[in-house]
Amino acid sequence: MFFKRRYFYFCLLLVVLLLGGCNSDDASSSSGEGNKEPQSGGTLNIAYPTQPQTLDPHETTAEATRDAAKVIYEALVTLDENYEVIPQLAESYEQNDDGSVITINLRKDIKFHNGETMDADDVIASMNKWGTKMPELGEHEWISVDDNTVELHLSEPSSLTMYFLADISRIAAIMPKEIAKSAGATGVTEYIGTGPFKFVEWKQDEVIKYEKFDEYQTVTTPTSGLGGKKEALVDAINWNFVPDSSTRVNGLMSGQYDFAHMINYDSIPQLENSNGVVVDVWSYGIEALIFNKKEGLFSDIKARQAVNYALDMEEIMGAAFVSSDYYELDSALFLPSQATWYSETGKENYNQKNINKAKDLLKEAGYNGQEIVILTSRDYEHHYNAAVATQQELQKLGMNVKLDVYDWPTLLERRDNPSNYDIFFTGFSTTTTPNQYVFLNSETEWAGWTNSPELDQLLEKIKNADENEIEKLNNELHQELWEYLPVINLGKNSRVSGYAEKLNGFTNFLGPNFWNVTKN
Amino acid sequence: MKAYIIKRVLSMIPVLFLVAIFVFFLIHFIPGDPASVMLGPDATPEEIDNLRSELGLNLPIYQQFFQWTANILQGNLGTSLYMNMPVLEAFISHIGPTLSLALLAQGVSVLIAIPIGVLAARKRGTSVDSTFMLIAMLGMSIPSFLLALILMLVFGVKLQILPVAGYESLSSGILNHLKYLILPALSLGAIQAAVITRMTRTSMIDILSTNYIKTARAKGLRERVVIYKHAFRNAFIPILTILGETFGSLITGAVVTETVFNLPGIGQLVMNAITRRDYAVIQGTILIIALTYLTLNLLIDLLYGVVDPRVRLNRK
Amino acid sequence: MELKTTAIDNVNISKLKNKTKLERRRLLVKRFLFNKSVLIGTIILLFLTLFALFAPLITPHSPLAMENANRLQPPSSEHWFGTDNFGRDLFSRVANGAQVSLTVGLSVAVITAIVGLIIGLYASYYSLLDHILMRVCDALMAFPDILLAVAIMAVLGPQPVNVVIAVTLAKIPVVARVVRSSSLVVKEQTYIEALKSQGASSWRIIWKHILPNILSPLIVQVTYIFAIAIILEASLSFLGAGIPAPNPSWGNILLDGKIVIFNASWMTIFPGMFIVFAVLGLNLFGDGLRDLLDPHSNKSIK
Repeated sequence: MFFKRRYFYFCLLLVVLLLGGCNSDDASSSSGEGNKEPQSGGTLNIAYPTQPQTLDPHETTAEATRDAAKVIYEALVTLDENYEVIPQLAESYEQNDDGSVITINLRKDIKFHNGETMDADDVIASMNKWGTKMPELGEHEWISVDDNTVELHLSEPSSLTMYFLADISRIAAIMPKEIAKSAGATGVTEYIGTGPFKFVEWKQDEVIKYEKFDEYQTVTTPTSGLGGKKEALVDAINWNFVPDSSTRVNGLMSGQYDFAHMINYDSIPQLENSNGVVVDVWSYGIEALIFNKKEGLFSDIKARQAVNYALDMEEIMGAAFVSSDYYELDSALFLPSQATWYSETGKENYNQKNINKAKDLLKEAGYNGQEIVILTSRDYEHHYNAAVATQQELQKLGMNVKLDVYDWPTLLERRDNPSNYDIFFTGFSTTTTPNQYVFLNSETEWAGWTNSPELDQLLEKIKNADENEIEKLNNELHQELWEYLPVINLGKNSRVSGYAEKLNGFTNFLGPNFWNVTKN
Repeated sequence: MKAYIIKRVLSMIPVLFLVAIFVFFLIHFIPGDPASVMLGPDATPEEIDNLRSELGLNLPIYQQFFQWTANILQGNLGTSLYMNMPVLEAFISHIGPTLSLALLAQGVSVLIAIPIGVLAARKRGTSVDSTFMLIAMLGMSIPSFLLALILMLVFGVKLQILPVAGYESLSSGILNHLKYLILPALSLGAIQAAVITRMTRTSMIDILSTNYIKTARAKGLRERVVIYKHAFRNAFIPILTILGETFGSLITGAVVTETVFNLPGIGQLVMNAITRRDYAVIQGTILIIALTYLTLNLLIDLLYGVVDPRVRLNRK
Repeated sequence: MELKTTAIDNVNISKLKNKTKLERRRLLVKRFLFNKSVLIGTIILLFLTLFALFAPLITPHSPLAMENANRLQPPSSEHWFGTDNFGRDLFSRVANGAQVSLTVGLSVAVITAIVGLIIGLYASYYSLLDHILMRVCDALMAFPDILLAVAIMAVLGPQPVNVVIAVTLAKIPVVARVVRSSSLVVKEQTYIEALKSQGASSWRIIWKHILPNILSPLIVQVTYIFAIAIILEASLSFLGAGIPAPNPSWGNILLDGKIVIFNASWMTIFPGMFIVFAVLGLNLFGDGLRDLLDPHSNKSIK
């Protein structure tokens, strides 16, 4: 019977609550500004597009894992800004004359985040776990010499071994032995490393929280690339997962995030016009068109060459990466800063736009108008845009081209079946050695099925070469790449991140780095 | 009454079983493979195959189905491949934002909609009525994601008074919690509010034209008493249905809103699980959602009996 | 009035019948014109149909032609709605998108109506079938519609036809239920009982006697389904699981536009406006139709 009055009070209560909510809102946001007052420490709010499957860097080459894991973990050696190997948890290392034994002296008194001290056993347990995922190393064995010395014995010595150990795409992270040994099918579940920040908690699909690790011991050489002096200058990092690109941008502009990773190229003008935000353009690697060389038209080398002669790379890269600020027409597999590996050999076959020659080659290959299928996905807008532009180019050549658009996981499955497609697109973050490009080596059986004895031989030679032979072999490799065309390297591209102006010391080297960063 | 409840609960079993079959086979027909998603784009077929067999994904599909149902009957929803945690745990860790959002959206919409609906019914045919009904009509016609974009633009970026995205759990303080939910709740609640307003209005109009209301008025009762004590209480039953239905759809249907505002709720959980081919999560979550939906329907039917004793439950 | 005078005259019955029919129709038209909801709804829908049919013809631009130099241009006399992030003409895309979105919506409405009608009618007539079909419907309805549609799209692959299938599957149970509950009421009527005892075939009873009585609620429901299908298609495309690009639909223009919402708000405003417009038109039309076809019922469900 008191229904009416009760309802009225209920409404009143809700109104009060709501108004209260709004008011306090302003209050709390202004107190949020209070936090921005100059002070060392503070919490860094990162907006990162994808949540990694695991923080165990041994398990996957996914970038989401790499970027989030390198905050916690370190390896024996790492890369400097010229992509050369420098010590990290190793004090020093040496290789014997035939390269079959590498002796590594460990730094002393390095603490794990759980308080234990790192010793040779931890290194060996970690490296054994990591080694099972690294067939490139060949047969090998880790031996403990004493508490602070380990040896790596290789049955196939290679000049590239140290690069593998330093490579960041599958970090050779050192973790406590009990944890390394506890790993299941999908890796470890306890994330303990030696890095400047320690893992605190992971709220699925929301955030990973890190905290400054007080007992972190830095190398004292100057900061360079991923190595040298590293310090945790903020108290904590919140690694938020924000899959939606425009949400990352909006959050950055409204000050909710200090850093937003991977910004859509079209949002850049909007960020540049907004106060207090810095746009950071960083070299990523190559964009590639992958041929299916097992079945169909492109099992014929002439057909691949025809496509290569026809393509106007400017059109394709322009469609994919919007403006020449974010791409570079370059035939090399590596970045110019990677002095050892950068090679322009073979560029006479790149970006020829020679339709007549292409038509002749296509005729020689016996093309008679059959349908060519390009496999693509909207999940990666640039691959998709490159595919759309390539379709237009090939249609000009008189080819009958169809786009098959799927979501990314479906594409991954379909590309493993040679009867499903002729071409797909993907990108490769720059690697430390050519041997890590899966599309060069026939043994990987990677989608597209490269099968070139010449390329295989060259890779094998590079693996066993000494330093002065490498340049020549690498040039030959690039030459062969542009003849055999397992893929067409379309060009270099950059990715874009944005961060708040008040962020100091930020670097992007093979992904964003948050040590040495202050927020004032 | 008891027999009715038992009967209804029993009838839920075949439905849940059907849901289980649907969801299992539907998602296993999706091409793509959790192992290749987990290993990254550079993985070789050999690596993928190894992980597949380690995860038991190479078993024949019917065997996987029996294994899954057997586990469920033992109360085990399985383990997320991608997140490495039990499905139930994953569900619980994502239910917070969805529940808060639904409650807030429902609260706001009821608060706005019912008084307006009653007012519109009383002023039936006037310009007040038609104005409110036009607004309600518009509210019903704006997809929530569109409204979300507009709200985000205005409050988040132009005025900068509310965060554009993200989520803070209740443990970080109720105000902090609400701050992140206001825009999503508004965009999600607008349609609800429109539906409830219209329902309230029609329901009230029906009741106001009945004889007993006329009698009450003839007796000289004050208008307020007539409206709230006599009419509204009876008009409440159809409104209750709508409340129940829409609350269910708020909980389960906030997928797009959660995506736009990056709320780590159930909708996001399932959407992510679909792109990650995280089978156990999709299956388990859909099953829980279905169970919730069925239970909610039962509760609404039971509530009828409480609110209006004239409704006999075993009639159906 | 006129009817009375005619009746007094000694005219043959068929003529009279014709006259009545005509009169009824005239009355319907009168009521139709009197019903503001239906009128406004019809005008909006008519406008949209004309727009979808002819707008693509009056613009010289193709909805797919990219022109990188012309990206994100604001509306101008050359590009009436501006250009999008590929430099494509937005007017042409919205117009062609109207074709796609309305076709998807209409197809969903028609197919759900037919399938839902068959399921609902037969379920109401055979109680064993009823149990089975309604459990299946319950199970389908227990899925959140958007998630069901996303999963179906993932299975079938991104084709416009599959969008129709996905949305249809999600909405058939709704129609089936409405049809079933209306026909259950009809089925209990004495004249159906009478027909049954006379030995009329079930086919005849269902299609000749039950069907005409449930058409009104069905038509009203289908109008709403049309509106819901447009929203659902837009949401699906907005989530990237709907109409595959580069084909335009209102939803995936909005998806493209979301990325550039701050520097190219026209990409959100125009398709957004059209969605609201279309859904509004259908809702008004449905509401009005309901009052028109069944003046006693005032229930506004959805």
